[in-house]
Amino acid sequence: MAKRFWGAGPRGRLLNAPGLGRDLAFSANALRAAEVWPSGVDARLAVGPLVPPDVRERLRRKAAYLLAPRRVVLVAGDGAEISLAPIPAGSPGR
Amino acid sequence: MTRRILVAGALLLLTAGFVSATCLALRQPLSLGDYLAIWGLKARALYGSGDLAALFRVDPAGEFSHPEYAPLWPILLAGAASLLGRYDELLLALLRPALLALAAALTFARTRAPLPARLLAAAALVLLPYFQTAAYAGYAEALLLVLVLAALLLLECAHPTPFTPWAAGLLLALAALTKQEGTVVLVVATALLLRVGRRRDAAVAGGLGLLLGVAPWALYRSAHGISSLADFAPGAFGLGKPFRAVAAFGEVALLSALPWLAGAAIVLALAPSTRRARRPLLAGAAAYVALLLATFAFARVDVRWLVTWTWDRLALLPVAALLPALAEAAAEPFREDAVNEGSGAAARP
Repeated sequence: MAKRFWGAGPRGRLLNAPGLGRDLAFSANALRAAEVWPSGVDARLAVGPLVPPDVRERLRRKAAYLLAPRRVVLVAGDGAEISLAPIPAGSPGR
Repeated sequence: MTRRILVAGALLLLTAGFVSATCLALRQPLSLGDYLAIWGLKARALYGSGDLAALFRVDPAGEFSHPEYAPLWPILLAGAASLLGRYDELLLALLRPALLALAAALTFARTRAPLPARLLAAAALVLLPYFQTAAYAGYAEALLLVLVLAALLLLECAHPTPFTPWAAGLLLALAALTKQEGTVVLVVATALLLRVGRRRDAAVAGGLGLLLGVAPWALYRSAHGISSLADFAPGAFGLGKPFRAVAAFGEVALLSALPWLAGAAIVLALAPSTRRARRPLLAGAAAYVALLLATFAFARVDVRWLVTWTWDRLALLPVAALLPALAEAAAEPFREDAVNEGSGAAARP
């Protein structure tokens, strides 16, 4: 177990940490975006009405943490939608 | 022989507590609770941007990150990450055992009693539930505690130098820049210094704390439109709220806290010299708790909810500050033996 823990690297360990591992796919997606998007680009987190409010809040906090220093804007999505997208600089969504 | 057994036992407790707290902190990267929503979020924002204003930008509506909270802990996390060359939540968790070791050393230094009692005070600190809770590993209280204990060590010094109140004031300023409870400590410490006639020390320590700690952050956040504490407001004043806070504390914590409170009261009751020597500390702890309770009168959120989620973290500071007095009180009945052994257990002036 120790070998797996140390072999995972900082990224793997972070994604498996209790605070982020609960929504692993979402956290991995947000972490990937944090690595790829320029730091000046903000993010739009769309969460549909079928997603429970506590889950929505949890995802918002995780997205804010992983994408910092970017601002994460929460918008209403469709159905059970959970998606992250960049907000280009100068767009009205900022 | 008995003394050796006591020293060995206290050392064993100290080591067990420190190893346990360190393993709990390092078994996973920082990621839980307020670390993710507040402290770590701000630290990553600061690390990623290098701009202090980024603390406000990540949560512009102030809905979950408490932008009004003082910035020293996120600055320290971001600074450590910069030194490491990357923001690694596991490596940053090493700050916890480092701060815990400092807090234990300060508790040891503050305790004026024979060696076993000093070790026992340090062991009690590392065994406090706060440090045995993995979820609190990335929280700001450990840094706050170290700064406050260091300031207390200086203020309690029997032979202060002209430099002492300046250093204490600087530490209290840093405490105020760590958490709002640091400002409460600053107020209480200044008032107590005035009460015991140390007017110059009060002016220096209080003035430095105000000018270098409270004022700069208040001005900076005001300049960014962040004016006050999100959970408290003058308009929310309610006289019954502190009483509801006490009742809520009774419901959530009294059963588990009662044996410890009773034990502490009995130990102090049987130690008149310690009570006399430690009167300012006991008064300060009481005043600190009273002020915290009074702030509940201005709570905007449900007091019961607030107490349930914060009482153990709010209790950390006064409990840790009182540990040396409790260790001294426990050692008081044996003081004559200790003096005979030449261990420097004389009563504090």
